[in-house]
Amino acid sequence: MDMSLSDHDIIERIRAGASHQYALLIDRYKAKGMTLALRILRNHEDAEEALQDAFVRVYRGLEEFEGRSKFSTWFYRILYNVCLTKLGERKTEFDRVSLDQEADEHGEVVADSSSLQEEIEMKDLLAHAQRAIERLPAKFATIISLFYIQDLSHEEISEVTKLPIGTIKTHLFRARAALQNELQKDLVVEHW
Amino acid sequence: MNGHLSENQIQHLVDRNGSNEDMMRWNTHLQTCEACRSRTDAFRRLDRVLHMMPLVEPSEGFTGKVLKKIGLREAPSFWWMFFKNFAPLVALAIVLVITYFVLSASGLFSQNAPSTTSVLSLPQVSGAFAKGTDTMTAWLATYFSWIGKGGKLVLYLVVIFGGVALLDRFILTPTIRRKALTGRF
Repeated sequence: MDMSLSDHDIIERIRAGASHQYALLIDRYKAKGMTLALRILRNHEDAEEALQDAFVRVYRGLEEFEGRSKFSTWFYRILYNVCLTKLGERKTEFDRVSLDQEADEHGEVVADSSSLQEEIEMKDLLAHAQRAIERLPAKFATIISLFYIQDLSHEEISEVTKLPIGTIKTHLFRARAALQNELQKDLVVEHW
Repeated sequence: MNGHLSENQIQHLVDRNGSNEDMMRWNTHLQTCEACRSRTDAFRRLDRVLHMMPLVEPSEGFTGKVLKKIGLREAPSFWWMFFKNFAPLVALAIVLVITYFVLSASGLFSQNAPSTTSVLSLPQVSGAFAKGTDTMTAWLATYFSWIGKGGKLVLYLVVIFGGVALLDRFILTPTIRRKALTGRF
């Protein structure tokens, strides 16, 4: 993959007639896009289908892309919308589980349990975290993905999801708190 | 500071998101509170783990599937690119050589040719081209005995197809692509 070319360079080449160079953009964003789609849709097949649709829409919309925002933000916004439409078709609510409820159930993180974490290898923690993310409500898993995997800022996440920045920050805080609770639960059970 | 840091304060601390005054106050508290230090460490560890989360790859051949859906082909191989760019150049060379031979054999540019300032009539031009192609076909037949009466036709076809291929490669296709992508010619 030619990493030296910026997204903007590739788009310019595509516009100049080198359409096959779109493969570079697909290769650059397919894994990050797939991770995001999977966080929202929770199903590999649906996620891949949504990702394909998003890439097709992005290609057809290249003409309208003026480069005012980053290509990545624009791409994730399209993917995010495609995924929400898919969820709508499945009649699944994006935020069907209330995290407030979850947080209330688990209460504050117990102080002494963090010492248990230090006994766990990072690799194990990663596996636990992955499982914990899968248990998170989709809207929080999505914010976690956009922030940590897609490396978007609060402002960019707000642009993608069309949610106010304050809400993004709150979601991120709650998601991390819930994740921390989930991890503590896992680790306590494992060390019982 | 009374009591422990709240979860929100710890997260602000981990994100280095508080005001200078708040950060100083929270850090001072951490120095004396083992419980809050542990909780902060746990959040820092979570933050590191989340940054390390592995990506999920789509299935094999995903890029090809998308390109097919769009109606594009995957990036061509080196040899295809070489052939793609080499073939039109060869076609251009053949067309130029044939044109040169035909024109030079037509007598249009000989010393006895009509003055270039005077306008040639269509029969004069077509006659000259016919003479040129006859000469060239006869010349080719001395090297390639299989070129018979159809040689002249083959010569015309080569020039026509070569010309069309060049027109397509360098003008039509790029223009159509540009129009499709940008809406402009």
